[in-house]
Amino acid sequence: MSQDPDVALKLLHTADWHLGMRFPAFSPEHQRTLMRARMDVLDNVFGAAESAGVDAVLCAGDLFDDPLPADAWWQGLLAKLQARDWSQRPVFLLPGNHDPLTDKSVWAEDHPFRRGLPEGVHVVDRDDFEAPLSPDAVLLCAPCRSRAGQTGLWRSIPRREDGDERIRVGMIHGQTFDIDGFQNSFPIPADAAEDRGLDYLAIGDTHAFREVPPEAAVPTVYPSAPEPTKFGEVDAGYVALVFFPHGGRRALLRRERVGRWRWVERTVRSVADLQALAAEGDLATKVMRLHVHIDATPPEYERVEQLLRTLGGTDATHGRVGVLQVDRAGFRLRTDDLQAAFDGLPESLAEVVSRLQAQAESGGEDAEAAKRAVYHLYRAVRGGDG
Amino acid sequence: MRLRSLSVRNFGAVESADVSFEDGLNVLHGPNDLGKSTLAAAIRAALLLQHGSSGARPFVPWGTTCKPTVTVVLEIEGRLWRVHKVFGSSSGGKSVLEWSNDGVSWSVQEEGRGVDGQLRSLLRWGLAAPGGRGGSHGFPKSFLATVLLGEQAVPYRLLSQSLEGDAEDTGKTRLIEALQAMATDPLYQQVLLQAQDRVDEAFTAKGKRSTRKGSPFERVTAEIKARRETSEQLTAQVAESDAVVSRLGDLSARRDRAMTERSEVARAVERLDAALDQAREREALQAEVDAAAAALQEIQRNQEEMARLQTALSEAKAAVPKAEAEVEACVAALAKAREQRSVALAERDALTRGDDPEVRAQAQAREEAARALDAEAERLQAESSRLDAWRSARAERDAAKAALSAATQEADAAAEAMERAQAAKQAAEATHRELQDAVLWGRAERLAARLDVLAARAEAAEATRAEAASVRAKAQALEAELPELPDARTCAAIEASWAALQTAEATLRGGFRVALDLSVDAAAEVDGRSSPVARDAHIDAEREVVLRLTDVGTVTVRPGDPGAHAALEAARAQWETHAASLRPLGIETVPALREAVRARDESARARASLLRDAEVLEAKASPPDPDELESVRRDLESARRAADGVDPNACRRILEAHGDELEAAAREAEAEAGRAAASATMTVSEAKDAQTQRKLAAQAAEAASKHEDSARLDGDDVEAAAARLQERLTGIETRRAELQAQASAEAEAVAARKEAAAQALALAERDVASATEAEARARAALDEARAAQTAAASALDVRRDQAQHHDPLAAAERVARAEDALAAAPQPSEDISEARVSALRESLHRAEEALEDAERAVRQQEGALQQVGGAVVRERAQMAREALEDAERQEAEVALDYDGWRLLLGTLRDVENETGAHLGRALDEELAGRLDALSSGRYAGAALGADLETEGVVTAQGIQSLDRFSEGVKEQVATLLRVSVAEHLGTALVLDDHLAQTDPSRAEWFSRLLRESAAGIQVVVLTCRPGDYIGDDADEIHVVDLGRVVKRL
Repeated sequence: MSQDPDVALKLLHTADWHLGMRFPAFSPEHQRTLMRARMDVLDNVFGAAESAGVDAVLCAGDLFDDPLPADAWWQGLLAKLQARDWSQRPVFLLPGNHDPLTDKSVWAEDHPFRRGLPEGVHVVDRDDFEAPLSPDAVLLCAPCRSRAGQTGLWRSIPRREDGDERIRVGMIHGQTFDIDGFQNSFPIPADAAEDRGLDYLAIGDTHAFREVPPEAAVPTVYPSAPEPTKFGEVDAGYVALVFFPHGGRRALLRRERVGRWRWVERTVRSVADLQALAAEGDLATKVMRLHVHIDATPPEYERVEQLLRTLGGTDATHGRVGVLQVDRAGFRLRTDDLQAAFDGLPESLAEVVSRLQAQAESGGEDAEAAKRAVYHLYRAVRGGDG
Repeated sequence: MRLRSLSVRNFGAVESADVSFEDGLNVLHGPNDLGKSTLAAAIRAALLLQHGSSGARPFVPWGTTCKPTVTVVLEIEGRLWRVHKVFGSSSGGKSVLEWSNDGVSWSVQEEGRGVDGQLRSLLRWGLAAPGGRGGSHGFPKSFLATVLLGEQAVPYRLLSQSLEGDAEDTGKTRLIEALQAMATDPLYQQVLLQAQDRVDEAFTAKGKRSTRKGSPFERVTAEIKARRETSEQLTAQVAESDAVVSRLGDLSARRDRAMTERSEVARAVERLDAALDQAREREALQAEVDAAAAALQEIQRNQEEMARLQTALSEAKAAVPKAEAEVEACVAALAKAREQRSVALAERDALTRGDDPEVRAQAQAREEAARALDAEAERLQAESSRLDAWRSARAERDAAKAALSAATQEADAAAEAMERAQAAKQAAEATHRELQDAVLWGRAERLAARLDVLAARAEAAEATRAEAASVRAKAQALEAELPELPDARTCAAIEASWAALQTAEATLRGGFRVALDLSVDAAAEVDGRSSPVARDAHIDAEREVVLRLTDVGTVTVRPGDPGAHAALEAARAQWETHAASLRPLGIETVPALREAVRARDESARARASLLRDAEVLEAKASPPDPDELESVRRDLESARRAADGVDPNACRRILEAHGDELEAAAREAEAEAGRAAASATMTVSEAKDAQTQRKLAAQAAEAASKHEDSARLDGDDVEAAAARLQERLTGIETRRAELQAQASAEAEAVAARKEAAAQALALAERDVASATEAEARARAALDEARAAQTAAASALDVRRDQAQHHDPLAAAERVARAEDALAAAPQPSEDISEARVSALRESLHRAEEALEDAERAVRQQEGALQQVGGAVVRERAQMAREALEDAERQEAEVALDYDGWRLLLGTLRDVENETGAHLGRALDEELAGRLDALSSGRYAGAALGADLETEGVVTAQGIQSLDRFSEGVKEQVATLLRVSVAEHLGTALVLDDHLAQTDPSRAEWFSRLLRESAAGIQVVVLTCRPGDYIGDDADEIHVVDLGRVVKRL
């Protein structure tokens, strides 16, 4: 029961942890960094719950990326849950479409994860799940039992009966958008919360923080994934803190940042741009996709490579950017004027440069290889390792 | 390339030679004019000259039409190649190139004109293919051919030749490969090596991307493969999910249609059920009408039947008496028929058993006549046998007489042949004896001549030995004169000691000044020389000043570091030690020592030269083998004994007549005598055999005559007796035929009688059967009439009972009531039939099944969608696609990187090949070192051009033209170049008297060089001075005495 006299109930709503999610487009080292980040962020989530003094923690599905994740993932989560006392602040874990409730899933009663859960941590394992959040509040949930389905899980939540004055909080996992011809998984209509007589509907699936529809009479909220999962995900990295005022007034909502990593895309068009980027602070917590659109002379090309190594790191050194992915499609070597770059070469090597330059400028099928050969030669005569 | 063997036939002055080669140094030695250069030319011809080339004409032996033939076995990169060439015009010449892995079994690689093309391709000496530039006539020319296989005049030719003059660039390419000759710029080399390393790590030798472990493509290729598989798998799952969704829509529509259809059919079934109830009610009413009508009809039929039964009963009672009379008539007819059948049966049985007396009498008469005929025929057969024996004995007698006559003629002929063979034998033996005498006499004459030749050779060898001993004595005298100087190490120590003394003295020879301010007079000794001195003067000295101060003493001033003084004293002491050892030799200084050593070395070389000459003379001195001499003497004595007593004149005549063919003629005469003796022996044997045969034939004729007499019968004509006998036998056979015909006629008559009896019996049997059947029918008719009477009476009783229970009026009323009820019942609402009802119910059943199927399918697809589909797999497929694209970008980046390296390497190579290869520089350092060592520092190197053209010799005064040097220097420079090139190519080098103009000391230096080089390559030296090469390490050298293996024409 909330200690705040104006607040009848206080909840932390989170979802879409996706523990065990892989990032195959990244190097093994970065994959591991990003995967571990999904487990690390839970300390912030649970810390936020304690800091805000919430009455309960609602975890609205897709907590694991797979219904039967590798042992390390459920053991890691179990350790974090066991490390805290939830007896006065219950936690409700809802199976989503990524980790549906099945006999073989991590949610099954005979699974060591389920058996190891500490007091106060509950798994939503029935279609008519109901649990008291306080003497005047109740939680109503239904789990996903498959990866996809047309079933409206919201229908499992009973309508408010006449005379029921309790705070009714619903929690389901599914998709709220409704486009003709598009097959939703576990669809949730925009008026589901109102239809069921709820005061708040906690949902999960979309990784961005959203209230759907905004300013509706009864809030229906996606709290976002606590750590983003891909580029282009905006408003991710949060949990929702929900405050229920006395008197049946509309619940108040506050989003709280818990994520460490920010996924950004940047484009540089000159060496100066890149130098400026390299000088920026706060790069260590960024997952960056860097588009290099530069036409460079051999010395510039070498400088760009040097800066990219500074940003991305090498076998021997850490990069300034936490996780860097470089798009080199727009990074080209200029070979129209190589005089300055190769000044003073022996006659025979000058002849080699001349031939490669002609090939590069011809625009033929070997032009790009010729440019690269020019760059190798430039590095080699300067004593670089190419 | 290594030479393994050489076989020569009829090549120049060499009739035959077979030489094998080993790895390392091969020294083929022999005196001048033996054919050493011819063997070298044979190797060149085998490898370079086409068999039909005019260049082979000089190799045809003088005054002959023999075809020069050479076979060379080579080893090239581990495989053996055998070149066989017969030089001659196109029709007589031939070339064969074979290969082998074991030297035992050979496979033909090429024959004819193609051999030279193959060879040149294998050797890669810059030679054009036959028919190309520089390849039409004579020996083809190329720099490497000259270097590796040049003739004696190589120095002049080689030093005016270069790779540039080659017809093909294979030689230059090979040298560039061998020398790694991008000797232009170190930076170029560095870049080239770096590029080569990178290309090697990424590409295979064939230029394909390497996927071996550690290759840059290995990881990225494996990553792409894994990511592609994942992406394809997830894409397939997405497609499957989409397909499931699509199928779900279709199935839902199908389910809706099935539900609609089922509802419609159900409503139709309801309507039909109502109509069916109405129809069933009318059916029940109609059944009642029909039942009532049937009951009324039954009553009427019963009445009619009773009338009919009454009539039938009356008719049956009248038919019974008639049937009884008919039965009695039939019984009588049956008895009569059975009697007639008994009579016919008795007649047939009697004929069958043969009990008929007439028939039996005829048969007995016929059998007696037959037995009489058989007895007569047996007698006549015995008589015929005797006639045959008589005829046979007479024929044997006639044959024996003819054989006797033939044997007599053969014996006479054999006797004549025996006489002729004896005469031929005697003549052949006489001829053989004459020829044999001549052979023995001729052999003794030849052995005497051979003995004379051997004696002359022994005398010449003794003279050569004496000359060799004289030369060796001179060498020993020189050796005795050699001063006993310190050895080289001691000389070096003395030189060092002398140099140390000079250095120590020079260290203290810096110069100094002594300023004087004396109060007494003094005398000074400056650097060992007395010098006047004033009291306030100064003295300048280099090493030492000694002041002798009057009444005071002596002051010695030496400048410099005390350590340097100590070093000088030590150096002096050491030098004194060495000087003491030199003084007894009359040597006081190091230059004197050097001069003494030089003079001693000169004497030693002269001594070595004398020893080599002595060895050559000793090698030349080849006395006949004493065993052979003794053997010839013994053979001569033996031959003379054998020819003792023969007529020398006759033998000479015979020898002149037959010449070299005498022994063959003697052998032929001996063979002829043998053949004549064998023929005579054979004719004697044949004559004896013929005589024996004649006697046996006479005995046989006499025996046959006696046998004919004993077999003779009465009368003289055996043929007439035989005719008579045959006539009597024919009569007997005719009688036998008559008896047979008679028996046949009798049998036919009996058979006819049997047939008649059988027919009568059959008629009687048929009558009995017919009567029996008629009786049965009559009895049946009687039974039937009685039964009909009984049945009619019984049925009439039944009908009468039934009629008592019938009520015709009530039945008629029931019919009327039922028809009224039927008329009142309603008609069905629609036309129905059982088939329609059944079809409609079947339709309903199918519609329900279709609905169940559709619902089941929908549930299945929903289940499938839950497991495989949805946003989860779509999200993962998207991530997998992005990962794949990223890996493909990485691969493209790696590929571009290494394509860049490959292009860079290719361009570097192109530029190198076109502009940069300078082979001369690659050999520069090596040649300079050797020339310097050879000339004791006089020559600093050879100036070689890019294509190894020799531009001159480097001296302290710069590059000097070769024209300014002696022939000896030219051949030494050329030999050094040849050795270096062969070493770098790792191939065989053939040197034919290559240092003809070189002095012994440099020849010795070259001998050491060649022995060292032979550790890595094969060197073949053809020389008349084997001593230049064969030293203490003779075991490591393959030495071939050509005097033993070359047979000159």
